[in-house]
Amino acid sequence: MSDPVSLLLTVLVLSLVTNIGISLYGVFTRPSLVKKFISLTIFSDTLNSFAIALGFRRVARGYPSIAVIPSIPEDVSELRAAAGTAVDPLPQALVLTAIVIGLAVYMFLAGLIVMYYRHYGTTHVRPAEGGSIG
Amino acid sequence: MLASGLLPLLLMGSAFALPGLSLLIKNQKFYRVYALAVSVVGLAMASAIFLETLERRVTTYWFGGFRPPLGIVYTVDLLGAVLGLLSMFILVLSVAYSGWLIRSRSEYLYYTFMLSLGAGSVGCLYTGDIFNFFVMLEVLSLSAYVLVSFYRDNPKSIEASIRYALVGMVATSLYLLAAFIIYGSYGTLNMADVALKSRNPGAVTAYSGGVFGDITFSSAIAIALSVWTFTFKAAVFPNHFWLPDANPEAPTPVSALFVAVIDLVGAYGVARFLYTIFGSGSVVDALRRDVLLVLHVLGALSAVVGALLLLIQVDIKKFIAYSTISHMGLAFMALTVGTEGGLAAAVVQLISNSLSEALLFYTAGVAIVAAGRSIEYVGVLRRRRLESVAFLIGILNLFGIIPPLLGFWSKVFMFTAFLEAGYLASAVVLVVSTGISGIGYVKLINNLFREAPRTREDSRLEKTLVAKLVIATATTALLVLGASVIAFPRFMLIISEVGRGVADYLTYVRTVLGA
Repeated sequence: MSDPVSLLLTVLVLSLVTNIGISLYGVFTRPSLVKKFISLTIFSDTLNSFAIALGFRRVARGYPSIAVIPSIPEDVSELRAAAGTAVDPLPQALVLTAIVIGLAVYMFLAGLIVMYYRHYGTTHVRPAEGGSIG
Repeated sequence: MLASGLLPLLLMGSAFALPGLSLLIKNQKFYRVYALAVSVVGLAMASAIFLETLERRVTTYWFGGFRPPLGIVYTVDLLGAVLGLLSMFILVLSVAYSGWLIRSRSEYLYYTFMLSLGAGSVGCLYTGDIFNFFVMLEVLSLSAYVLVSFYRDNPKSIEASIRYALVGMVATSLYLLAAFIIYGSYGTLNMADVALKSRNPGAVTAYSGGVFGDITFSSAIAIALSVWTFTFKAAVFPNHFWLPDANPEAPTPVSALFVAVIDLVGAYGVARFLYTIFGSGSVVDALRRDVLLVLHVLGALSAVVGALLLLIQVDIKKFIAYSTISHMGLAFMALTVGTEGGLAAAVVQLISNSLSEALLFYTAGVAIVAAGRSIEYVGVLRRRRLESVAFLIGILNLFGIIPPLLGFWSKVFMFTAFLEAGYLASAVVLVVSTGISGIGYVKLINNLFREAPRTREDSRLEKTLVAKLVIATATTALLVLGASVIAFPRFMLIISEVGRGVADYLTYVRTVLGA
């Protein structure tokens, strides 16, 4: 545990797992649809953060970096050096896709909740009980 | 094969073109013809893919020409080809039927999501990439949420759609987590590559390298998460609750699609993950057997619970939804026996169930327009000869005790598969659930021969030619498939080949990654 990177990674994983627990609790137990909706966005953001963390790489010295190659390199060794300290870009591409898909679903869901509110005048899952939740 | 990559793109592209076209063309008839034409082309392509796959066992298509495991690859084996053909067939029928039933000012939106639902379904069945499966699953799910809430003036549709979308979003996110975990430990998202490395952890593939860390542990978590998603999609107990909630609130042609397009993907996912990717001989083989056993028990519970709840339904659409749960439970039992015979039986059960539930929804749709949704009102079909005969055939097929029908054969195959594997209790569950649901089916047949209390006036009832054609086609398909079990030995060969192909990971891996 003396290594600060390992310590931080452990903290990260623990907090992500806690976050998943809290957000799922929110989705399944909160009576307000808006609260459920917010919990759901927290849930999928947690999963996306997890994916970003997957791209982390331990490098020999310092921290992994984003590979920036400003000009066309002369030989392969320069590319190899950049790739040696770069973070894995694939999880970021996956997360980008997942976020775009999530956006579509959340916009649709938000629209549905607005329609629900127009019908019942509340966002409580059982409209008869939820007069106070606006 | 190019068609396997083009088919989802064709459906998706034509779906997205429709809102644009609606600005230019205001004629409702155009949307109906357009959607029907696109789905018929889709069916033709799915048939071509099926014929090609029949010859070559596994066909692949590389998107952008990137060799696997670099790019997204579409890999179709016999299971995917057969289910894709089934799904496109029901899509064509449902789109045609919608032309008769759906009357709305936003018809173009309806057909947009109908086509994207089809795109999501065939995408899931054809893809050879674990992350692309997630993307297609989301396309499928989002279209399904939208279609459930299509009658948005009805607060019950809105409620059903919200409940379905909230839980569905959690389910698909869990699959996404499984995909991330698989990427983190295998360094690849290609199904064939993962299938190779889960058997030979020492294998090194070009570009994706070897495995990282404890793959037994991470594969176990990935299996647990993804199988939860699949049981949700397939509506297997205890994740069945959304189906009787969402299905009745959707427009009837969409309800007919639910079994053939959405539940199918759940069953397909289980077969693909537990037989091809993490199949026998993989590092998680011991856990896999336990998971199969748990799924088998859940399938049995689902079959019995669905059959029991079916008896107390008064709404025809809920009745059919519970019947689906019961039959999907049986399909899951066959799917998880672990033998090739079991897989083949599960495929026959899926085909028989999809066709006959769709047929019931199409005929019940006529009764719903004519009278209402109570199961008492199916009696209005009595004066319509074709509809009542089709309804009777659909019910008898689900009951599954009349020999020439496909439902009978699927039960025979499942029964033999259970006995061969030594699952005596499962054979008993099959008989018991058939008996219990039989009471409900007999009650429904009884209602068919009773005079219905009332009929409504509706202009659609005067011109039922399209509905009749759809119902006749579905009935013919059911009868022909049932007859071909005896008449064409080749039909049975194909079905058993499907079962063998799922577990045959070597051909799969060789075709995708082969030099």
